[in-house]
Amino acid sequence: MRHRSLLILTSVLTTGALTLTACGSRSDDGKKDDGATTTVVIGVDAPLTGANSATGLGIQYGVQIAVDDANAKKLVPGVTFKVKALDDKALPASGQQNATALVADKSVIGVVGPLNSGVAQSMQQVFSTANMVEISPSNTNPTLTQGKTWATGDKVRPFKTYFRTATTDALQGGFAADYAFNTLHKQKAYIVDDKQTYGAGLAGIFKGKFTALGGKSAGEDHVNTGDTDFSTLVTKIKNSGADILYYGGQYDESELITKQLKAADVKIPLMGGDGMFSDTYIKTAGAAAEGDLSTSVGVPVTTLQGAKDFIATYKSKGYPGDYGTYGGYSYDAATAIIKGVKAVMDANGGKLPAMDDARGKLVEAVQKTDFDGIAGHVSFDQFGDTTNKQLTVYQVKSGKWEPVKSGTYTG
Amino acid sequence: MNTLPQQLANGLFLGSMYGLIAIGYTMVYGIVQLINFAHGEIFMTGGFGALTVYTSLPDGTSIWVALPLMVIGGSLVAVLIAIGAERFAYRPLRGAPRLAPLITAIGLSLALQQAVFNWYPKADNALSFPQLPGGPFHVGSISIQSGDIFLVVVAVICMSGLAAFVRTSRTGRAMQATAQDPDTAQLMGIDTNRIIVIAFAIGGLFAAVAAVASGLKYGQVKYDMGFQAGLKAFTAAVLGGIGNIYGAMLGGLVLGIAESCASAYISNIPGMEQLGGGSWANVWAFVLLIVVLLVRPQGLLGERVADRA
Amino acid sequence: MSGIGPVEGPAGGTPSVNSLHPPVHWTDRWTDGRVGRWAGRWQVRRAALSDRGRRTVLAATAALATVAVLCLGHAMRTPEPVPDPGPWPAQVTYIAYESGHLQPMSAPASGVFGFVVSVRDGTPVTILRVTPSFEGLGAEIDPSTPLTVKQGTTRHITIKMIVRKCAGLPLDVDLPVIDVTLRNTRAIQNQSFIFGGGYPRDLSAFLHRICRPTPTSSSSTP
Repeated sequence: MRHRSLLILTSVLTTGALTLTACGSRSDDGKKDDGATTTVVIGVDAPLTGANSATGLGIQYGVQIAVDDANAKKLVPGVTFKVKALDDKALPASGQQNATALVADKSVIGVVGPLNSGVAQSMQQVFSTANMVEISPSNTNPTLTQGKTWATGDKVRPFKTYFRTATTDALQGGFAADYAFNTLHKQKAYIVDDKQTYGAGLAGIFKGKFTALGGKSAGEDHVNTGDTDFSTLVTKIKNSGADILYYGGQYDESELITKQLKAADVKIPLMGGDGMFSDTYIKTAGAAAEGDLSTSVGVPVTTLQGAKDFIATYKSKGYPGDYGTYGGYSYDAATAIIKGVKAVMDANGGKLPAMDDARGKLVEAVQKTDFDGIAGHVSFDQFGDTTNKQLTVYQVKSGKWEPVKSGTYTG
Repeated sequence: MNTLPQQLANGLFLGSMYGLIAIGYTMVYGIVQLINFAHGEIFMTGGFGALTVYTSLPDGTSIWVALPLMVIGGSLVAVLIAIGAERFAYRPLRGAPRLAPLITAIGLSLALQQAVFNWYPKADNALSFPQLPGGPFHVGSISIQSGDIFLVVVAVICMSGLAAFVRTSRTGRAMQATAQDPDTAQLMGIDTNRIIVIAFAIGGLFAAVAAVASGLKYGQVKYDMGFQAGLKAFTAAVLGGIGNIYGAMLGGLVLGIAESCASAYISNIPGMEQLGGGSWANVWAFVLLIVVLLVRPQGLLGERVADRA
Repeated sequence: MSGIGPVEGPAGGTPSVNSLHPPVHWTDRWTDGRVGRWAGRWQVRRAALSDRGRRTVLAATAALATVAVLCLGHAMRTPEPVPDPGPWPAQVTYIAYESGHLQPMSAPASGVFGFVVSVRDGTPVTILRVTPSFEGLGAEIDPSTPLTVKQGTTRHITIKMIVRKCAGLPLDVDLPVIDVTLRNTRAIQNQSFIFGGGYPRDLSAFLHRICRPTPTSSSSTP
């Protein structure tokens, strides 16, 4: 008797729980409401919880601030913008699910995101089929806009709907190698990556450029994302005689690697890419992070003319996350979509066309984007890459990231 | 410079942690034939319990004063959850087909993970855990961290304490009896329910100690730290012979050393460069498990038991 | 053969002989006595104060409240507007490669490369220093530094790269860097300019010619 009632109770609870999880994280749909304004939704896809969430939240709120500013200044008369943020947890499968959900939502006109290059690979096709514009503020892997054969010089754009405001790893890896070899005079680099699209790509590019400059690779290794014990790796690095460790990957692993490296008395700096450039890195690694280096796309937010207000708003609203890494770029990406909507409406006699039509026209409008954003000039070349290619090398000094070298790229 | 002693030491420390967690799996299996998949999460809640104790102590408390309190706090949380799991999740399912409590265990593991993720403040990222002061100590060519010393010390204390307890005390011998034949043990007047609760409690206690050691070693606790650690510890328990507490510790050590040496040396074997390195450590560890089980299905120290009627 | 050991009976209902006592009802323990003891704590305290004490407390509270309101008002005042200092020099300066690499007769180990510098807006930008990022390579800029470019204009300059030491110089670099120090009314900045396209190609050909004239000859300082 007890067993059966228990069984019924368990099955009812389980069914209920499963139904609730199936509902997922659905924020309210932006319906076209009555009144003078139409509501247009800009989607955001980024890791909002778990790994990489510190920088992912920076993207979400960067877009939020851009939307709030546009609504306040009535940049596009007759349109109110809203943000719909979905969490992809840095997993390609979740990213693809979110892409499908955003495409199916008929009030979403464009998307900003994702953060991870590996997640973008699973989302590009979905957006391309729906002819919906996707602007990433942080993807740096070159294959996303230049095709698989970009390294040989044969560049082919795979998707017309994909754009990015950040520059690519081809530049980031090269700049890092130049800094490590020519400025820091490091001769032997130990190169580690996390086997993800972004990390492996960046580490490979660094290795190529570093050895081309005359440096030597002291060894290579890979780690799994989510690992916490790197003692074996640290011992190998200690014995290789390397004078710098280059890590391709995100801060979740590199903060632990640098801690364990310094604790084992291996006093070499750890250098990484923009995936590591976050205050969370310094907070978790503590004193072990001192002297570590990171490259990041863009120039320091503090030297950007228009970013002052952005930073002030971010801090005053108390938004979570790190805005320093991609906040400026996500603001500009959202503004590009907003200005694109305006261009579409102007060409259509001041009215927004039906959503399917509007999405396609927005892609064309975004391709022709040309304005001064808060992170610099915003415009896209024939591959969807930004024409404003800037990078900075930062170093941890007294517990903060300080810029040590900035570069502008001219093709 | 030969790195073998250092890599062996690395594996030893890692393996001690696996062993401590594996004790929980093996004790529970030995007595109730249940694989407690929620044990990894009990390990994680022990770590969070210890962290809560630390954060509620006044600032500036020396780590040496805080450490015993953290161990006690973490153990309390882990033991309570373990006993609660036994009482409310597993005991009602005695007599049900074997699959039911297995699924309950998996469900409980997910529930605990998500509960901590959602309700513990700021738990969506890793949380900082205090570390013991003192630089690496050098014994010959091996460098040992302070967290490692703590780990080895508590592992030795726990193992020897448990061995003595099981062998000499009344309750310990009652546990051996229950594991051997529960019906007869009950006929002999042993309160088997109480024994089961004690088994879960000891498992929880060891998991909490391992969690504090893990926090000290890596400097952080994370809501999903139980998943991977639990999986490895379960593997260690099976490797060493599930049901045998010495096997759990031995299995842990073997697994840790295998992982360490595999990621360090396999890439040096000509022709196998792609198969070495940190990302293949797990693969080699499980390959070892499969090989051992093929040769000796009962595990390294397990004994072949005939099917219980 | 059940899964969890044959401890309990078949229907699972009968507790075993030596089972735990029936569970205690914890709710009773919490409610009896606790609530009553804590109630009225503040009322008791207040009643114990004398008249004078009460007035002191009231005055202190009023003073505290006034101070709090004043501080709040001060913090919330709108700040005076600060005049806009203008953009940073690196944000408005562009350097693009034009042509090269002529070799003047006077200095055989050098090559002249042409660049065009443009400043978009803001205030005039002065170039203070130009250095290539490799050791062993020196640069002379013509017209010489300090060189000012007005906003909204472009200027054609030439940089003469001088090879001082061949040893250690990478001959094939696809992202060569030139470090430039810029100044305008906003700030002084060191910015690196990274070049793709024509400049790396020409620079590479130039370095090959200077440092490795034929495949078999040894490289040495020219």
